[in-house]
Amino acid sequence: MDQQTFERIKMGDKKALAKVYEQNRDSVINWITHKHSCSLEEAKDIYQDAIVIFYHNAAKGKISSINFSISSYLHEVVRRQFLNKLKKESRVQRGFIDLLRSSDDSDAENQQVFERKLELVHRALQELSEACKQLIKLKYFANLDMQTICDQLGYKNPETAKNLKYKCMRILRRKVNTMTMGMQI
Amino acid sequence: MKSKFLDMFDNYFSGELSDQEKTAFEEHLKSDSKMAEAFQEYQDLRKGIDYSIMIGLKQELQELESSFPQVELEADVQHRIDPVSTTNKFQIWKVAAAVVLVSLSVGVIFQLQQPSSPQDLFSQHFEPAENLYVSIKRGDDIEANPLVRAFQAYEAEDYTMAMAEFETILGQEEYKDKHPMVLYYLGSAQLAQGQGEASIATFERFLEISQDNIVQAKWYLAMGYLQQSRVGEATLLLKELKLSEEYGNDAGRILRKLD
Repeated sequence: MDQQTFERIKMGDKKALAKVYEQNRDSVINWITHKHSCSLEEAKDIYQDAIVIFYHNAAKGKISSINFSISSYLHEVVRRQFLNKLKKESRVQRGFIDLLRSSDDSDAENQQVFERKLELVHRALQELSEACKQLIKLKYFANLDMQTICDQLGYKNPETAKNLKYKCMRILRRKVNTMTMGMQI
Repeated sequence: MKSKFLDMFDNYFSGELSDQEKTAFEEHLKSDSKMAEAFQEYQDLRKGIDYSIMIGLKQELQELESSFPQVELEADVQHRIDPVSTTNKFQIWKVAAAVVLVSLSVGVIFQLQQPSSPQDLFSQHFEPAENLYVSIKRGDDIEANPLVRAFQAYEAEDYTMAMAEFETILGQEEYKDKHPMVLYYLGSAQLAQGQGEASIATFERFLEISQDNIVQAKWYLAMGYLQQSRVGEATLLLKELKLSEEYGNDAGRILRKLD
């Protein structure tokens, strides 16, 4: 993968990611079905999870170098993250949850609480405006600075973007709290 | 959550604090319960945001996938899918039907075997050799035995550590050339770390001094050649391995892909 494509993916460029998805699709899906005798649909599902993990790890700076074949990287993600979970029920999304879990969230009770919190934030985020979703994604998923966010989203200056950040996070937090209280009643 | 908290937490997470500021922040967290509570909430929100974006991307990829023609499964892959599983049978028929339909509608004859790059073939077929040489037991004194130390790292997939330990062992007179299997696992660890060139030298040395595991070592040597894109040398070895029981099918498959 060339540096430019990698940088674009790190900045959240979905078109670049879609290209990577398409380029590696046949070979990786064939490899998964061949290696683990699973159905084509399962293999596609696992391949998509691996692409998501790649996207996450690129955004979080967990991939420091681009001196690798993306195909090799995806094979490694599949091997490490998913193969032992192939047979588990509701495997979908399990890989994502495991990726985000810290050691404090690992016992059964905390695990449930942790998963519920993730689900609540996910639901609350769906209710935000597109502007808030975009800004939150660039700031908190892609870890971009306010100047870059400002350039990408076309705000007047970083201060405007910063004020929007406060507002969006305040709304998100309020929605999560409301949903949490609703569940407790 | 107060704005000043939000900025502080953002700066902490984005690595914008100096070491001194970072330490001060962590100390402050210990003594200020309100701030600690806000920080916990902030971390939960961040994880939830990451989760939500991953779920959203997964859905987008599912939509993207549905816009592509069906994946072209290789013929031998179709045979390998469990023939007694009705789900799989159904999937195979679905795939076959989709392939036929798409072929007819757009007039495309699918080429089932596309050439792959040697590095891709390496990624698809390489797996580190399983440790069958040194038995690791719980509670082993790792300091006492360098071999145990090396294989503990190897089994934990800490290949950098394992390579360092193997090389230390091989540098000792009592081990040098007397334990070829240490070379074998060193080569495997090197491959796992993407060090194809080093692994080639290691397996070549192994084949000079060992009487055992010859076929397996040749397989890993071929993997090293693939990783280094030395197609001619890989092809020669794979043709030999094609006749072996253990690697015959895989070698044949790689050779077809290299054509």
